[in-house]
Amino acid sequence: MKVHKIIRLRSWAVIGMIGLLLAGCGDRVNLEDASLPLALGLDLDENDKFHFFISAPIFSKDIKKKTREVSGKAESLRQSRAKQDSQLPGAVQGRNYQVILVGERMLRHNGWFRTLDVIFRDTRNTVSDRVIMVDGAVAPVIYLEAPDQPSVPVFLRGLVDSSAARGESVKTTALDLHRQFYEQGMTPFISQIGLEKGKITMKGTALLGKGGKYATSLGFQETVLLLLLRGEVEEGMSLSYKLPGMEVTGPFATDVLSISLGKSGAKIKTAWREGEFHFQISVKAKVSISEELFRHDNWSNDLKLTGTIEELVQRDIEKLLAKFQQHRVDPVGFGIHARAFAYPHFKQVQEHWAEELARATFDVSVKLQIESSGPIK
Amino acid sequence: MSAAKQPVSTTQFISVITGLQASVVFLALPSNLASAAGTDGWLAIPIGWMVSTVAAVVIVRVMSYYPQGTILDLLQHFAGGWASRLAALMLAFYYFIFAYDGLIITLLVTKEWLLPNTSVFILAVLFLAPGIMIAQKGLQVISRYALIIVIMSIWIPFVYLFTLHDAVWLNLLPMLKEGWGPVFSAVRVMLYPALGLTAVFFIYPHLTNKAAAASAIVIANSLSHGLYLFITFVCFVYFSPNEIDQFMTPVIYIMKSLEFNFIERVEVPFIAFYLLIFSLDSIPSMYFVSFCLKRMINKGSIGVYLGVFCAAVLTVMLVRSPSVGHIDDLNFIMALTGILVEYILPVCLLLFLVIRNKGKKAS
Repeated sequence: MKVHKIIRLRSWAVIGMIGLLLAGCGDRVNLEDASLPLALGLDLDENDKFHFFISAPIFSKDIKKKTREVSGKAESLRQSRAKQDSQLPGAVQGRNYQVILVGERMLRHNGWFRTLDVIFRDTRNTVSDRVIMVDGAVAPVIYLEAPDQPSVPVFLRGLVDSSAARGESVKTTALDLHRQFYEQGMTPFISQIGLEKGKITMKGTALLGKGGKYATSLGFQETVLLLLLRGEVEEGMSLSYKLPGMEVTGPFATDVLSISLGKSGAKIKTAWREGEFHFQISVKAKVSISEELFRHDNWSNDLKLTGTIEELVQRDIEKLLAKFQQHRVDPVGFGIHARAFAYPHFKQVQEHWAEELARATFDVSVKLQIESSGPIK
Repeated sequence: MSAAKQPVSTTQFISVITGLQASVVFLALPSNLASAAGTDGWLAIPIGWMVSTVAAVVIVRVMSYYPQGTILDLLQHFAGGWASRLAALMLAFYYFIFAYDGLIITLLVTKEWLLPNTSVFILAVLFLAPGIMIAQKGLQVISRYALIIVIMSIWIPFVYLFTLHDAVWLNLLPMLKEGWGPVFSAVRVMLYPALGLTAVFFIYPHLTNKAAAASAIVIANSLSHGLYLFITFVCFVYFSPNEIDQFMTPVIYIMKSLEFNFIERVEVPFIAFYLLIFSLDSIPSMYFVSFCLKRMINKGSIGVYLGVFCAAVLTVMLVRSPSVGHIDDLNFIMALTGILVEYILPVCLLLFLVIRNKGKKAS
């Protein structure tokens, strides 16, 4: 009889456990009740009032337009959720943003990064959303509907990823941005897009000051050099130069030489002398010539050509460094090097590192090794 | 169930000790070390390792005076019934805090990352029930379970290697930024992750190879400290130095940086798997609580006391619902009692035994 009793007790326990397991169902979301916005836009209007924008895909055969956009005024992102819900058929799940667009007006002020707090605090959010600066207002980009373009969020994510792979821009995710903002030894940078004649165009890289205010932009070639200095160059990124003293025929730029970078890197040596930091940068790169529009007699004057390109790259890097100093930014992270190798001096200036960097001196040397020049002479 | 009927092998023993030490604490360790000593915090790990290795050897040395019994038998034999009962009460209290602390961290992590809308109380019941089923079978089953979980989790550290893609190695330099001062203050942080060594008090009589006990416990201790060192390095080179103490559980947060095409929130399946690892903290310790209570009262079976333990846990949770601030208090109490039980008590016991034996030989 006792065995019987135990068995009955056990089966009740099992039933009870299964019942308890159902408690987890409180956390479920039915897909048909959910709206999954894929893009988040943040902007200020003319009166500096905060606006949010989201773009959510609509899954329905009957509707021609593939996405629904929502916008509104709000004090904060989380608080804006009621307004988001009121304009979308399902409950908004702000968890799958692919891109976060930040308007230019937003970037005129320091401290905008704090508004993204909910992205990091709610663990259900992804933090690999690409953060993108929009030249001008966010609204026209979010509402853009072009017949030859996939929906804006998907398009933007693809645009950023492919541009970053080519070195035309950078891929800064929300978590990357978090790291960059908290790092005292560098300043943040994000990719920058604009709207040109109704088409979304990659503009390059936007450099932000320590507080998050927009400082300046980098073009495509400058971005490659930034990546080169950061040691993040991937093979295949290319640089083009007009060679001085080459003959130009007609309207064609027959003096252009393009190189594509192979295995390359930059060594940064830090020194502190006479009250200022000094960085010795030696760039070493294996390159191959991918385009050469001028006539080249033979490769016997190879050395001279290499020297010329090296000089051009070096001049470009020096210009870029001067630009950083002028705009008080440090996207390369020289401060991290300063902290690692000259800590006592860095510690005194870590609160305003970018200003200190403006007084620093650089010594750039470039060493290129031409690996191949293609099958044509 | 006597010790001879439930033998525990050396590898199982190592698994139990490592599980008790590392299973829950590794989550917040990099963050705690960074708040104590910045990026030099990792230097406290080898120092903490040395301290805890000494404690481990002392504990094994104590147990070798009475190899056929647990610490309670040892005390009964050398110091009498009342000393044994007092020790049982103290150890039951200590392991209750130990298990409770591990449980609360497990539950809060589960709630925070997996089931934000589900009540902690229900999660606690769901988590305790399978725990009891394993714990009531005794030490042999517990140690087999520990070994299986350890073997199943070996691959996890390798996943963290993916995050090194974005590592900034210069974060670790310069070493000793502010000198040795902060490092020594961080050693204090390392006392808590080393706790769990006193499991030897209960497992020793079960060991099949008692001669290897000392080396086994050193191996177990080194394994957990090696894990701490690895995970701390991974977090320190990924997060920037001023950022890392912003995260409560950087070890989980760092997973969010991983991007795979087939899954969006990579950390979710990991936390679900971590639940198994977390159980290595609470299952052995809830057994120890019940074992001590049973010895103290000398009646009933382990299962009854496991039920008492669960009722106590749920009552404490009802009286003081778990929160983040709660964990800090708990960790503080646990570190305090832990130092008493795991560092001071064994040393006193060893001194007592050495002096007593000398006195016997002399007379």
